[in-house]
Amino acid sequence: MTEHNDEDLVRQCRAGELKSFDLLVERHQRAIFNLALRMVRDSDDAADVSQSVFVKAYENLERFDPQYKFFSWLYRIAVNESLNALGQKKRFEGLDGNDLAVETPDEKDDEAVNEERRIQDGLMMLNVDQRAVIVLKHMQGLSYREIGQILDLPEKTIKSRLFSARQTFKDILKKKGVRRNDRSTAS
Amino acid sequence: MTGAQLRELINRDVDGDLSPNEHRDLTAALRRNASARKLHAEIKALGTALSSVRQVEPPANLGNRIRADVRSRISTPPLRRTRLESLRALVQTPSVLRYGTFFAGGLVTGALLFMFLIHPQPAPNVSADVATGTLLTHSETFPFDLNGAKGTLTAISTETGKELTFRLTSGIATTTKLTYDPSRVKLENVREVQSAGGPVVVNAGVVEMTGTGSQKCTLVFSGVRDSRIAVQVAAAGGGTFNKEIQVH
Repeated sequence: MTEHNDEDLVRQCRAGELKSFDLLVERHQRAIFNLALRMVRDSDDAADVSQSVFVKAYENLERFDPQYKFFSWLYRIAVNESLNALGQKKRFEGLDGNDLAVETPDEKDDEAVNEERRIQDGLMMLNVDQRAVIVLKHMQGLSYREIGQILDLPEKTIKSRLFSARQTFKDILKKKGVRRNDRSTAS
Repeated sequence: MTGAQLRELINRDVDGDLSPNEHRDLTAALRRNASARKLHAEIKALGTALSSVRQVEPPANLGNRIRADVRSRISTPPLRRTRLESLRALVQTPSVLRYGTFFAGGLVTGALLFMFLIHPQPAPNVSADVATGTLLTHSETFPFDLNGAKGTLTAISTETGKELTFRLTSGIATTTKLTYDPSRVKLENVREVQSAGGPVVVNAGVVEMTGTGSQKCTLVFSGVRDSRIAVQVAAAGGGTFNKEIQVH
């Protein structure tokens, strides 16, 4: 079977082929879910964000500019939806005074999981702008240019934001005692 | 090379963004500068730690949830402009083709009407995946008009029966939703409260709609006993709309 690229699928979807959108969902849901998860931390919230992302993408497909990559556009929606979710949560917590974040109960309490948890905790201590660049760069493996397109910022700004985010993150992790591979040397 | 330039080179090196000349300059600077070497090692280790965080598999039903939600909104764009463009193109075609197309369209419409009369179709609030024959959604929509706040409350259940999504649309087309899970209600605006009558914990949620003046609404849902959820829409301008929904 021919593997269609995203642009083909978007074109088919605009022509009314809903199955093409299903393929886009199948192709990108994992990345979008993981992006949302790192932004909002809670798995259920991340699933809700992912659902909103694809629904918004579908509803606004006519506005998608094909000169950009489809996934960049999806990521942009995902970042915005994550920020909305965090904003709503904050408002509610402000009223209620309860932290609704839930730990996944079946997580194994091994060292790797603990380290990941500390990294996720550290991420949540960054401001959302810094968190977004760290997640997009290190966890989604995107280039400065792609991150710039997603956040609608010049590459220069992305670099300086990323570098200062790393510095802040490094300090946070130092305080939290995340084990690092300090044997790394200059390449 | 200033300290700021050196920090930038170190960061860009970790990202693999240096030209050969810049890389050579950095290597020379690192050889001379112990604190720069330390910073380089730390930034590199940070990148390694972040990149080693494992990808998490999304919930198994996420794809179905998304497909069901998209299909429940099937009447909204993306087809709108395409149809408009098609109509515009049709009007601009020579008259023989135009009348021929209208005639063919009439025949198709007649055939469709005939089919609907002879073979009643499934209820329109049910959608199915044609390829697999799987029932995807069942939804019910309840319109309300509360002192100027007009809108609809839509409840959509997925095929698993484990989720019920509420969508509230007020007059200014603001949409929100709550997801109900029998084992645990979980969304950003949901909290657990103790029922007044005894030790049973019921789940309740409140969502405030963004809106202006009388269009502003609040969606409250509560009571998860006997698979029934009480839903209330309260308008800022006064008045409430109550509905009890059976969860199957």
